[in-house]
Amino acid sequence: MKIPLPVFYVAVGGFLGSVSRFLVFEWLYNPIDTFFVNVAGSFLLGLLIYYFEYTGSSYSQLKLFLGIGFMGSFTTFSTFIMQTVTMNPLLAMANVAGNIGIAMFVVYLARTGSFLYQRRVW
Amino acid sequence: MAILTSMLLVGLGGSIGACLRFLVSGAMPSINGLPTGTLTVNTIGTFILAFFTYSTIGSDIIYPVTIGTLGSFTTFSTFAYESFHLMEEGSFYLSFTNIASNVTFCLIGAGLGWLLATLI
Repeated sequence: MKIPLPVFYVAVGGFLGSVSRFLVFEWLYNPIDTFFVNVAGSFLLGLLIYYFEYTGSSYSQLKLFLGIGFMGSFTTFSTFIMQTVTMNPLLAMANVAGNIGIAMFVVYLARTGSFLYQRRVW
Repeated sequence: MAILTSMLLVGLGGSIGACLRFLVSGAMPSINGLPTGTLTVNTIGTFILAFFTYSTIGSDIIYPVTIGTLGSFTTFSTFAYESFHLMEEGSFYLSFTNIASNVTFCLIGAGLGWLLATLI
């Protein structure tokens, strides 16, 4: 059976990403572990996307392997929601706002960092 | 050795989940500028995870299916990037809609999963 190549990159990245998430969950406590993987993964995905956007180079295989495969599997939405529904309303709102707000902020940081690196403004 | 077995099962489940996300997410169109691919996988995945969480199905499927496949099928990084990117392009309304719809749909999905588990 011949596997289409894009799917192969995603599958290998997905394997490694999910194992990495599993190992983080073995070390940290709920729901800090979910917050950690989501924020770290969002930052690295932002770095990957914006670095290549600013340098203008092609990265389709790396995007499949690292972006869609690894980071896509390392971060998770289902566990995040399941942990949220078990919290009291105030904590649940803080969990949603914290995960989403900080994840978007680190994407912004990744974009700024990539821009500065490309410009070498230091 | 038990942790190695778990890692292997999670990884195999995770690679299947990632491929399914890639295929399902890629098949979804962008509706009025809203990226619906991520929304679809997150909602379906949360619904199934909630069903398994509240059902009486044994815990022997937990590693490959819940942690591996469902954990990889749903994603946060692409969601965060897409939400930020919409804001970057100046569509605060679309960005907010994306965030609100992901959270709302997944909460409804979790509720439906719980409902299905209690009915069966």
